[in-house]
Amino acid sequence: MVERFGRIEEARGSIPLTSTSGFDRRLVALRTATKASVLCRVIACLLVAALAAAACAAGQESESRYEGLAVAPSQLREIPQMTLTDTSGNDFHLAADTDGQVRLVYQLFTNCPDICGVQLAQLASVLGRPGAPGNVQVIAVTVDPDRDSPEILRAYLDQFSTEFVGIVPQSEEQLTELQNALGSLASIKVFPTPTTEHGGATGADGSMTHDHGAYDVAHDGRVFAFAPNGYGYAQYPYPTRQSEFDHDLPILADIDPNAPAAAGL
Amino acid sequence: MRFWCSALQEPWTWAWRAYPGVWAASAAIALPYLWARRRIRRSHALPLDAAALALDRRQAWYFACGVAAFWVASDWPLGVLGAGYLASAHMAQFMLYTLVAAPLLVLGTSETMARRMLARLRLYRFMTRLTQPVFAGLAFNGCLVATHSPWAVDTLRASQVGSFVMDVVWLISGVIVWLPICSPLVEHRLRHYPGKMVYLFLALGVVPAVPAGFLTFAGFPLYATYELAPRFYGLDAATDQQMAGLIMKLGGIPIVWGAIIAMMLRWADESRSASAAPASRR
Repeated sequence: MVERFGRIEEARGSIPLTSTSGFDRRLVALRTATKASVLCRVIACLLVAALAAAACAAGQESESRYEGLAVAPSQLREIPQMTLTDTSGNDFHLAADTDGQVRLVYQLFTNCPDICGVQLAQLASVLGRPGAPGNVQVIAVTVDPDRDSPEILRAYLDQFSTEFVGIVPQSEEQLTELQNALGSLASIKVFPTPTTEHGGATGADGSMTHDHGAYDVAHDGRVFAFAPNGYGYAQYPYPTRQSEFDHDLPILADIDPNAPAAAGL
Repeated sequence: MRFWCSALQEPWTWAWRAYPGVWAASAAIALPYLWARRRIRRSHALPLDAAALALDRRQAWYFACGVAAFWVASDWPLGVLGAGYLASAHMAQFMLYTLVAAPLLVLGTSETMARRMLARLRLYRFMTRLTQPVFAGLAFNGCLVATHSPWAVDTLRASQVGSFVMDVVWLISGVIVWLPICSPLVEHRLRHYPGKMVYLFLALGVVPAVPAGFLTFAGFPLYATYELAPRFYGLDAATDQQMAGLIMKLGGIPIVWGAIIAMMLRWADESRSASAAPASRR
């Protein structure tokens, strides 16, 4: 109220700020004090907020050793104990055949228009750097076994690295079982636009059909990282920078194969 | 249809795309020039002599080539590649804007045109200050460092407006850095050849080597835009970035050193004719 009165009077010019009368001086002092106290409160609030944010950030940093998404201890999974088929047609046991290694399991399809190639290129670049840990195995599982034959998948992976293991699930059920075991989202085929069987707006029986050659597969874009002891401590969604992989892979690679689950948390 | 080239999260294809903003920007540079040139020619009471006519034609060619360089740098395919796929294409764009388009546009502008434009825009005083070598060099290199920071590239290249701003800043900073060398206004140019050569070497040869070094020797790709873009013919992000660094470091050498050598030859010519004149008088 006083502040408002002072502002009105000042605007009118009846109370100059340099006035020497006692009332005026008190009024000016009161206004200054009010402003100062508001300013102090604002600064104090900002300081508290900044300290809280810094504490939160520090807390978050100390929570995880990984730059990728750290898996919460309660959600920790072991690498699936499954026997799949690789691009040479041989049996490939996800756990036993990669014992003592960091397993980076990635789901992809070779007709993927965007992220699959980028994620694989990122992994190939990081693993091809001097000083990269040697005990890392990339396991690329196609989510589109209908179109991705072993030869097609192999040729696709070889563009990035001949060291990547390609897996072609032998059935939808096997793929679903693997996705459930990984804790990944299920993949689904996405048809761009419905087409008609007989060229008209609808087919002779009025049904809409899909062109089975042209579809995308919506799938989980995360790289699931399992340490040599078999536990999946971190995941890397798209987009993950090379520097993040480079930070985390040595940490994962250093975990002892016989270490308990808590070792990588 | 998109207005200006910006980062796209799509695989690269050679399918042509229209960018009307690039055509509009090219026209916005060329049309006022043609209009001003026509007005100036009409205002001449007497027909131009042969030397003036040759200069006028040469300037028109320089300007046309400058606009063409601007268009090539901004439009498909280089504009699209530079905006969202390859750091090396991004750097090639930068070199085209600052070392080709900008000096050609400056060389193509006549003195009368420049004086009228600065008077109309009330920029004469400002330009006099800006064309001082220290300010021009700082302005250019400040823009260079700022627009090549990872934050700026990743933020601006993500949108069409941001990408447009970046390209325009490059062109303007390129024009500024060349003004002390070849401004159409004689009072804005450095007077002596040694000064010009030193300025050119420092402004365009030395400072850009620092960010170029960062790009060439960085441990990881600096720009998320190019690192996470769909790959262009399998070229990996680290190699692409090294190529960008090399383009920045080496791409300017032919132009900067070509200009320095041309200035040395002209300086030698002028010194020779200056020393021959008193001798012939004797």
